[in-house]
Amino acid sequence: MKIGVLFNCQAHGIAESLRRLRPDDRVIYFAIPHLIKSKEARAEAGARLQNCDAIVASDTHYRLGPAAPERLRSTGVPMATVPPIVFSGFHPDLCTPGARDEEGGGGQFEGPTGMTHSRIAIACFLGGLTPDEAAAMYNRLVFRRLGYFERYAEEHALLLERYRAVAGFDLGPVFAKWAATGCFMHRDNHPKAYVLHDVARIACGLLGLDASETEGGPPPDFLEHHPHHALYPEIAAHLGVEPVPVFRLPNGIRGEPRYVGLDEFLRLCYVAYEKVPRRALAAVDGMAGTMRTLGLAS
Amino acid sequence: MTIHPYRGLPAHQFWSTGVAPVAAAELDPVVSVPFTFSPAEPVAAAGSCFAQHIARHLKNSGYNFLQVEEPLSATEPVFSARYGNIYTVRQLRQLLAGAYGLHRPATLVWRRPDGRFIDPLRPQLFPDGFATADELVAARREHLLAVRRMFEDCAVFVFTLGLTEAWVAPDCTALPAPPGALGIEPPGGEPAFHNFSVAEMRADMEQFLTDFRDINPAGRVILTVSPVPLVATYEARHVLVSNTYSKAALRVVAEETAGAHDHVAYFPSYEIITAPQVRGAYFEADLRNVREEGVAHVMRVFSAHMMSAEAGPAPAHAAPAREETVVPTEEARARYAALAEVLCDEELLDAGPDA
Repeated sequence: MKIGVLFNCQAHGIAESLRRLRPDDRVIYFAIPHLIKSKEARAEAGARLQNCDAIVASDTHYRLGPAAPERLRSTGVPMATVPPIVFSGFHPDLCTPGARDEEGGGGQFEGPTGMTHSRIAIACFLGGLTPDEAAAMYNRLVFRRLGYFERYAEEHALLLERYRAVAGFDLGPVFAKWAATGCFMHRDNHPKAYVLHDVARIACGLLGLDASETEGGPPPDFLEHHPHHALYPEIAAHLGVEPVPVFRLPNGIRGEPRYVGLDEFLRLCYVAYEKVPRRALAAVDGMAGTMRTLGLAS
Repeated sequence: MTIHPYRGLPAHQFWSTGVAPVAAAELDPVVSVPFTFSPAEPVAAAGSCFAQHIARHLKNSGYNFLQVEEPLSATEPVFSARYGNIYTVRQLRQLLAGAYGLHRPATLVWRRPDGRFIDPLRPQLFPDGFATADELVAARREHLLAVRRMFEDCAVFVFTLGLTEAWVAPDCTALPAPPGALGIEPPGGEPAFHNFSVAEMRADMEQFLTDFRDINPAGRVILTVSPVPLVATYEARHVLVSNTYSKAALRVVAEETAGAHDHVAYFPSYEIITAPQVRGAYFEADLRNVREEGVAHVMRVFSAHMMSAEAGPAPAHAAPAREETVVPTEEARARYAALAEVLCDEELLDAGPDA
C-alpha cells in the first residue's frame, strides 16, 4: 500500500520510520514548511496524498488548501491524525519569535542557531549586559525565577492531553519509555529519531496497520543535524539526565558539524542582535516579563 | 476555681529559677531546636565580626565546615567564602542575588589614593588592592562562583546579624563600609547613611530565604545576633542608645523569621554573652570584643543542642519530581499551542517530497 505523511519538520523522520515498520509499503512525505511557501507545492501534495491508501497527518492550523488535513479527510482516505512531538521541558529557555505584528513589530530574526533563540540572551542584550554578565545569568536561581524547572511537568501534562484529545491515545507509557532514556529532544520541536519511530508506530496502530516488526530499528536521526540548544547543567541535574553543554550551529560549508559553548554562543548572539531592530527583540513573546524577572527592566 | 496560668510551668520559664541561681558558665538558654545536624553535614557561616568566631570554631571543632575559598593570610577573617564581614541583612540578600547575576552593583571598583583598586563590597579583604580594575572584576567573578557553590552545597547556613546601620550606594547596594572611611571618593555618587527598620530587614530576610530555598531546597538556616556592640553610630545620639535599638531590632528579625519558617532556627548567642550573671565578663576590657571564654561557651551550647550523631528531620521541601501532576496554566497552554505551530526554516534545506 501507499502511505502519505503530512507533518512539520518531523515528516522526514516519521516517513523513514514507516518505511522500516512497513517495509513492503511505499511511503511519501510532505513537510508543511515547504507547502506554506508555494501554492503549486500545496496542489501537488494534495493530489498525491489523495492517491494514498492511508495518510498520517499532524494536527495543524496552517492553511494548506488542497493539502489541508480536513480536505484530505473528506476524500475518504483513511487518516491518522497525531500531534507533532513538541516538548520544551529540557529546553525551557528556547524561544522562537513569531510572525510580525500588525504595527510592524516582532517578526523572526536570525541568531547563531537560526530562528530559535535563548530568551535569557535576548533579555541580557536588551538590558545592556555584557556577554560575560549574560553568561553569569545562566544559573539555578534565574532558571527558578523564570519557571524553567516547572516546565517539564507542565509540558508533560500538555503533550499527553493533546494526544488524548487529537488521537485518542494514551501517550503516558510511551513518554515514560522516552524519559527513561534521558533527554529525548534535540530542541523543543525536534525529537530524537527513536521518538519519531514510536510516533510512526502509534500512527500505524490508529490506522489498523501492523507495525510490530522493525527493519533495522529506528532510522538515522535527521533532526540531529539541525541547530540545537544546550541542555543546561542545572536543568539536567534537576531532571536527573545528562547535560548537553554545547549549542549546535548550522553545519559548516563542507557539511561539518559546528558546536560552541555558552560563552561563544552568547558572543555570536550579541553580534547577530546588533543587526536586529531592538523593537523586534523586545517584541518576543513575554520578553518584558523576562526582563523584569531578571532585574533588567522596571 | 481560677487556676494561676503560670503554675506548673517549667523552671526555665521563671527568672528566679531559670536565670538568677544559674552560674554563668552553666547557663544554657536553649530549650528546644527545630532541627539538628550531623557532623558530616556541610555547614557554612557568614555575618558580622562575631560570626568570625563562630566560623573559626566550626572549622576547628569537628564540624564539616564548608570552605569554598581559603583565606589568603592568617589575619584574614575565616568565613566559608572570601566575602569578609556581612553586617546587614541587605548585604546578605545582595550577596546571594549577586552570586546569581541578579544584583549588579553600578560601581564595581573603587580607586584608592595610591592608585590601587579595591572591591567596594570587600574593601578590607585585599590590603594591597588590585593593580587593574579588570583584575578586580575577574577576582570578583571567581568569588561569586564560589559563593554559589557555598549556598548550593551547604546543609546548614549560619548567619549572624550584626548591624542595622549601613551605608547604601545610590544604586541601593549596601556597603560594608563608607568609602570616606577608606579615604576614597567613590565614582557614581556618595553613599547615603541608612538605619534599617525591622520591616525592611524582615523583607530582605524573606527574599533571601526565598532565593536560598530556590537554590537549596533542603538547606537550613541558623540565625544568631551578634553580641558585639556598635563601634560607632552615625545617628545623632548616644552610641548606647543606638546599640540598644540595633540589637533589639535584629533580635526581632531573628525571632520573627525563625517563627515563620520551620527550616530556620534562632540560636541565642546574644543572650549567652550578655546574660546578667556573666556580669560583662565575656567582654574584653573595651566592653565590646568578646573573650574566647564567651565564644567557647556559645559553641559548647551550640554543639550540645544543634548537633546530633544523625541528622534531624529535614523540612520537607525537596525538589519536585519531574513528572509530578500539574494543572497547566492558561499561559502554559498558549505557549504550548504556539510552539506546536512553529515551522522550522531549516526544513527547507531538506529535499522535500520523496516518492
